[in-house]
Amino acid sequence: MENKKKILVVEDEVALLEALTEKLRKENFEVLQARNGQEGLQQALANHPDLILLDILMPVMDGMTALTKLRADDWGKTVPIIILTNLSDEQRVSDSLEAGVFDYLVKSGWTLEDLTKKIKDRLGIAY
Amino acid sequence: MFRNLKLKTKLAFFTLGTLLLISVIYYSNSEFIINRLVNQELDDDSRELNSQLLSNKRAESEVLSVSSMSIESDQEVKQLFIKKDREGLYKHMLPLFENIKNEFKIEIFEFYFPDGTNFLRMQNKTEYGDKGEHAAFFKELKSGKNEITGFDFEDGNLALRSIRPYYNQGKLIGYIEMGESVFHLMEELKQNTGDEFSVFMDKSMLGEDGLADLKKDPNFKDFIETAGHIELSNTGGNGLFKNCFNDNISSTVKTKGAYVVKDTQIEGRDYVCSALNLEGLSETHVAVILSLTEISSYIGIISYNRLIISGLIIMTFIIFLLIVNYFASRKLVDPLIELSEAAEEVAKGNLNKAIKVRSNDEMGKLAVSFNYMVGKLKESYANLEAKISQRTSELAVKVKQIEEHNKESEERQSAILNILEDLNIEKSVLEEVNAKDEAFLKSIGEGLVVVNQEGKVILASQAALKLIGYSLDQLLGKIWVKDLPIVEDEHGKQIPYEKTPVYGALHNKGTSGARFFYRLPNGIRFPVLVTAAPVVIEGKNQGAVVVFRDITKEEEVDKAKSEFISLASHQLRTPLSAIKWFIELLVDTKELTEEQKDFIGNISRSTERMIELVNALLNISRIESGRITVNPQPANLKILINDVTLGLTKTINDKKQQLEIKIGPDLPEISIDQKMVRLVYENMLTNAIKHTLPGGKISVSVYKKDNDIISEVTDNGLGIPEKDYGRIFDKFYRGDNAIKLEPEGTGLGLYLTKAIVASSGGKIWFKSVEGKGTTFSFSLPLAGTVAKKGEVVLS
Repeated sequence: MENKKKILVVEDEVALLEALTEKLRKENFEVLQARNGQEGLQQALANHPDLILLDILMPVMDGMTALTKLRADDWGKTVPIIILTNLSDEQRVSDSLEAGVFDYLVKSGWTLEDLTKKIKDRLGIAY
Repeated sequence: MFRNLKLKTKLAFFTLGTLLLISVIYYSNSEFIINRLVNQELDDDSRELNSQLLSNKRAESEVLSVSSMSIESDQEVKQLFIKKDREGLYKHMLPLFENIKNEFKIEIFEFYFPDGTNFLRMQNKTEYGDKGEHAAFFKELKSGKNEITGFDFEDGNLALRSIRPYYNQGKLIGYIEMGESVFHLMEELKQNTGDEFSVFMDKSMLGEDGLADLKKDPNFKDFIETAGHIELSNTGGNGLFKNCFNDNISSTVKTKGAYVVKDTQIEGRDYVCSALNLEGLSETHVAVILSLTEISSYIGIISYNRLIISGLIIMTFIIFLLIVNYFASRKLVDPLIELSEAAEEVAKGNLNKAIKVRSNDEMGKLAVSFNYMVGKLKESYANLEAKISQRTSELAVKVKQIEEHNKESEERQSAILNILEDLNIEKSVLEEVNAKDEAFLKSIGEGLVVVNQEGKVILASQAALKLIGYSLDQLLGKIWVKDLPIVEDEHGKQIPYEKTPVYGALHNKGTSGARFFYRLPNGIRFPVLVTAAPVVIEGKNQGAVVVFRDITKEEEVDKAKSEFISLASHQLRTPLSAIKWFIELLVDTKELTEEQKDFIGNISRSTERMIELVNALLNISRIESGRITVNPQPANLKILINDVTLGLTKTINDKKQQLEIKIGPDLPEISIDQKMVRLVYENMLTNAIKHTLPGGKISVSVYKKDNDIISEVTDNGLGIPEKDYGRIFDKFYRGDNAIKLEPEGTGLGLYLTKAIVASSGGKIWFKSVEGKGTTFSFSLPLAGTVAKKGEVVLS
């Protein structure tokens, strides 16, 4: 049995976090959770997930800061990150693209299914 | 006052003054001189008289001598005398005497003895007698004189006598005397000279008898007797003494000399009186002969002469002085005048003036100096002139430039007036673009800069100047914004001129806007929203109008707004996302009843609607704030459309509609913001799908036309009622028929689409027949979309 892929979900909204976790688990992913950027960073560095879903607006440490810090890390440089946010700030988009995220997705525009497809796509998993 | 007179006048005055002085001196002298002359004349005259008298006297004496000599030689007379035969001598002498008397006017003849006693006298009265003795002159004769002549008064007779010794054979035997009456003498004189004569004698000489005799003398025509003197005349000259002299004349004559002259006036006529001493035989004073000469003629002649002479002399003086004056003028004053005139002319600027050097004296030296000075002036002026002409030619060029500039300005001004006129016309043209509308509407009180076709500033509103901190002078003629360090991006980097809206406007890129930062001269900068619109008059680009405003506040507001919107949308989206996902999960549970599925379906749809709405609102708000980023990339429309239709395939299939795609051949890649144009296609197709009944047909065709790519989406659906035509692109607007068919539209799609198309540089339009179908078309310029840096993208 192949290893389950680990996905870190960094999201401060409980409902959304729950929904995402639920879906991903259903899809046979191992899901790690973090409630803010700080936690996310810790989790990431500790557990080296295969992919990170990162929200922007979070307390304690926001997504962009976490991102930057993550990318400073040797391992963190390469980990695939998908920004999942409801902000559609172009500035953020370009910043995050510079920082090498794969996607910048607006949550409200994506079904969980589509999102999963995207994740699988990024991880090179067939669906 | 005298000072102000001209030199020549002064000279004339001086001349006249001198003349006057000389005349006065001369005249007073001349009187004196002439008096002397006259006196000289008179003196000469008297001398003349005297000499005449003397010569007469001599002449008579000669006569007397000759006569007595002839008597002397008469032997008979001699013998008779020697014999002392008085009677015999008398008788003999008588015819002789008569002869002599008649011929020579000798009236006296006397014989004397050697002792001086008188022997025989023969006088007027033919008688003889013997009288006294004349001892005095006999003495003289004895002393050796041959003859004595002189005047004598004897026996009532005033005569000129001549006495000679009488010899016989060498032995003195007596004396002979002959005499002539003075009165005859006087008559002769009168004949000769025309003058009047009188004899003036002391009465003492006469004695009583003598006086009586004189009175008896037939020679006297008249005589005047005074206390001490008598005056006798036979020539009409009586009273001369009274008229001419006073009582002392005789003594004066005695003492002073032979004659005295005096001028007198008798009855208004001028005379000269002369008194001549009649010397007696023994040189004693006998009488004075007075003569009166009318000298009026002399005086007249002299006076006349005097006038002429004076006149001549004065004239000579006048002429002399005039000549002097003239020469002085010429020599002195004229050169001075010439000099002053020359100086004046030189002062006026004629540096070629030179004064003739006519002499070597001071005037000449002055002329030389003057010429030298003028020469020097000319030199320095020539230098100056050279410089000036050089400068002038430089200036002329400058002036010409300025004139051209002015001409340009004038042309610009009239162009501006046209421009401003045209702006009003352009207003309706500009309404198509919202930015332009806003720019124009807000231009009053906003920064307005008008440039000519070269981009040089010709007009700037007060607000503009105030905003950018430059003065109009600093702006005019400069190329906006090329020549001014104003425009920069947010990083402080200068925006290249070619990327500014004004450049676009001037280079046929039409109206465009941009957001920059403007930097003030003091270093402060602020964000501006700039719109530049070309001004086209008669098809030619005449310039552009640039409108800008400080959007600091707006940006802040916008920023706040967008942040708010971002946050709001984020806030709204979050629960929406949650709902959406949990519904999805719910649907996935597979343990739902049909009814539940149905309900969930409704919720899902509502959620989707809400999400759509939120998105649309967000986009609209972004579009309205003008902060959308336009990021054109070369794109293949075919691929894009296919991508879009792919996403909609399910919906189309569900509605059993047909989709046809016609892409024109050789469709070039076009530079567009894919995201935005994608939204357009999505919207148009979605609209077509929504507003067409199931089983309907939708076709998409894309083709190149002129400089654009035209995209058309045609459906055979509901169509748009005419009454809705004007409002179809309005926010939230949905046609009634559309609402009926599809109650779930937001009414924002077309609004957004229109905005996107505009941002892409294209146009959108539609054709529709109610109940039949609709075709929506939009164009995209082949030239591509102008990139725009914004802050947000459409989602």
